[in-house]
Amino acid sequence: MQADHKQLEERAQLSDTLKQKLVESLDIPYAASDIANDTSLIGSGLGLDSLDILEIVLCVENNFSVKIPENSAPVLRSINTLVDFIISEQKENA
Amino acid sequence: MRKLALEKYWSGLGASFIELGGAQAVSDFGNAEAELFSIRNNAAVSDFSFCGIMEFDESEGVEFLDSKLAANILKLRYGKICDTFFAGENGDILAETLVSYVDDKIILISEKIFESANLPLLKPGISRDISQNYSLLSVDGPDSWKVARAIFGSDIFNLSYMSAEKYDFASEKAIVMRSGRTGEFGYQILVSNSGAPAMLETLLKEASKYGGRACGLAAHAKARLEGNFFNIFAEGVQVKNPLELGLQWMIDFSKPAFAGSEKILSDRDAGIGKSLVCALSETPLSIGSPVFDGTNKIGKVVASEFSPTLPGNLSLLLADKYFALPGFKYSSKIGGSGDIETLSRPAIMAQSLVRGMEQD
Repeated sequence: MQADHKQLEERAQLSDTLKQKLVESLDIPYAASDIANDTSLIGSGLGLDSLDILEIVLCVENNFSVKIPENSAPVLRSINTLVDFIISEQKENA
Repeated sequence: MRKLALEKYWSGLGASFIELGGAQAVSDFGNAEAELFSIRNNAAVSDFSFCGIMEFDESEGVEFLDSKLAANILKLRYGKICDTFFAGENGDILAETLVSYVDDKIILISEKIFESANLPLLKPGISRDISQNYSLLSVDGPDSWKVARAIFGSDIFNLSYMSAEKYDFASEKAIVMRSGRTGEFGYQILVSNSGAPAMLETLLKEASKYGGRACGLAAHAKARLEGNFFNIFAEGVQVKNPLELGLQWMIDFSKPAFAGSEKILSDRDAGIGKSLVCALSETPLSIGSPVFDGTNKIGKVVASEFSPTLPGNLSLLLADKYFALPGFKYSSKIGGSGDIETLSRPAIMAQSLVRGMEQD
């Protein structure tokens, strides 16, 4: 069995774009290429706090046309969980 | 091998012991899955005294540590904890270190890969190895804050994640660090060996009120894998490159230098070709076994544990970066049927995140 390489490339592209947009929006002291996909957003990892959550929500809404629900803790655990959510919402809205 | 100060106490509870980084550690109490259940559902009490524990004088210690560790220690604020690592000159990770600034001292807790890994951090007149004199106990789980509150009072609500504070306990002083690495609430408590038996008894007594119990490191290894926390004794044994391990967040790339920085910065400039991705499989995967996309070998297994929380066999794969993404199926056999499914970390939803701290 082989993975769908088009989907792999699309996921990688989305992940890279998200990291770039988060770095720009949140003034994160890392280059997007320095952020691993499983890096935690809140607490350890990028070390963002509750005040940054609103910025993340706005960043995702503005750049990916996806609305993050109010109780967003499960979505905001890591870069990868956020990408999972964006992909899932984009599929649903397509 | 350095023995645990509480060895006899743990033995009386049925502990099995292992050696980690040149020190004795509690592996389990006969049922690592039940112990993990406590981490995930109530409060689990553990002994992390196998860690190297060092004390540094305030100003000189900060500058010295900043020259050695990957993070910017000069920016560490009073009462805060920094999670970073110490590397060898070849850039390989040697120890994960938690650096706390509390009580006019810098306390360094390190999980080191071998006994002498910390030696370059010892500098006469600046730092002291206090591992022989102190015990490092922990309580982890969604009810661990209730245990901490019962012992140290409601002030623990002011202790945010990665913060440390000194508290009175009986006639002793204890440094409480909110630095759990399970995904649940968690507190590590540094107490002198003379105060450790009473602290342990109190922790176990309070934890038992919520169904909690003693817990070994086998359960913590599962919890770290589930919860998206680095484990130097699992993937850290198989993969030495901090960039492949995804630990860039522990590094301040703007610092002029730190131990191993030349190699790490050179690797960064060249770009890394491999990274970690989490995977779930029905059958257990052996460490070092290959992973295939069709007939193409794309990586290998570098950590694996059965996760009763999911349930399933949870692994970390070191894979070609192109393939190291969640949501795809790979195979444990060449041309196999896709028995390994990659997934995002953390692999579980922590109960602490759901329940929060329900203050009375």
